[in-house]
Amino acid sequence: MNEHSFKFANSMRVRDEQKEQLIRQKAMEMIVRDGFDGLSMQKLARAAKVSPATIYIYFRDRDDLIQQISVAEVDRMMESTFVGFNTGMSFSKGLQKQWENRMRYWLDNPLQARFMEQIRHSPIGVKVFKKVKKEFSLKMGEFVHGAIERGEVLKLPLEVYWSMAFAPLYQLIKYHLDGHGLRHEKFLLDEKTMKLTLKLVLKALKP
Amino acid sequence: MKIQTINAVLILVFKTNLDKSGDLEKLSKTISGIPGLSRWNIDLEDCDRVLRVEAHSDIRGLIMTTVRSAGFYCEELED
Repeated sequence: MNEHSFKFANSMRVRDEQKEQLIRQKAMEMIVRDGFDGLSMQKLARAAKVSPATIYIYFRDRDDLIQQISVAEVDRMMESTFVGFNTGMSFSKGLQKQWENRMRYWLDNPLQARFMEQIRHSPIGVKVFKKVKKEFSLKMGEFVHGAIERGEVLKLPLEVYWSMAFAPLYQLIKYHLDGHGLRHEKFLLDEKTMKLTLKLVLKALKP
Repeated sequence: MKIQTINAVLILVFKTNLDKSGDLEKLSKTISGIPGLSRWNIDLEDCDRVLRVEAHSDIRGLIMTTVRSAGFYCEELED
């Protein structure tokens, strides 16, 4: 069945993608602001300035709504992470690409990124992420193991590796999104700061 | 516009007063047999207890009759 073949019989209207996008956007805003319990179809309808009936064209119920948004966002995040990246890249080139892509995703999509953090540990999120995790770890595993074999990076326990390779980036992103660093001074994550940190990370991971 | 009218699925939404899973079981006995109905669910979390039906034709009348004769309230959820 074509995804776009829905029709709303009560008023014989047709699927409106802009409206659907707005509903998704408002739902993410509500979940980020008020948590899962803060989202109801009625409140969402008011926020998106549509009728509850309209929301039910696109989504079967609240869980279906959260699930559909999660799947779409996870796909988008995954796609953006692997833009211009391939698993055969040298460790420094590949990690730089990963940092650039992840930074871009978070900085360009702060709402979506926060939404993903929120759903990550929910029952729906766990289900949705499971699929992605597999693809992620396959690709990233291939990349790292190749680099280890070529002697470009230390062989470390996975958690140690990840904490070194990515946690610094995510901490900087967090400061950026908060708008301030440790001393409440303004903090902006720019290319220069990212590259400075990446350089140190690469140095630390060198055999 | 990306609309397919061939094999189009119609979404029908109704306000009901079903309240618990027992009500769902009661309704499912009759509603599932309606010809042209491909899938249905009720959002018991919503205050309107929205019955959402995916159908191959406009079976609004048949749905309302069926839900009502099972002993429940059922009206079209107006826009």
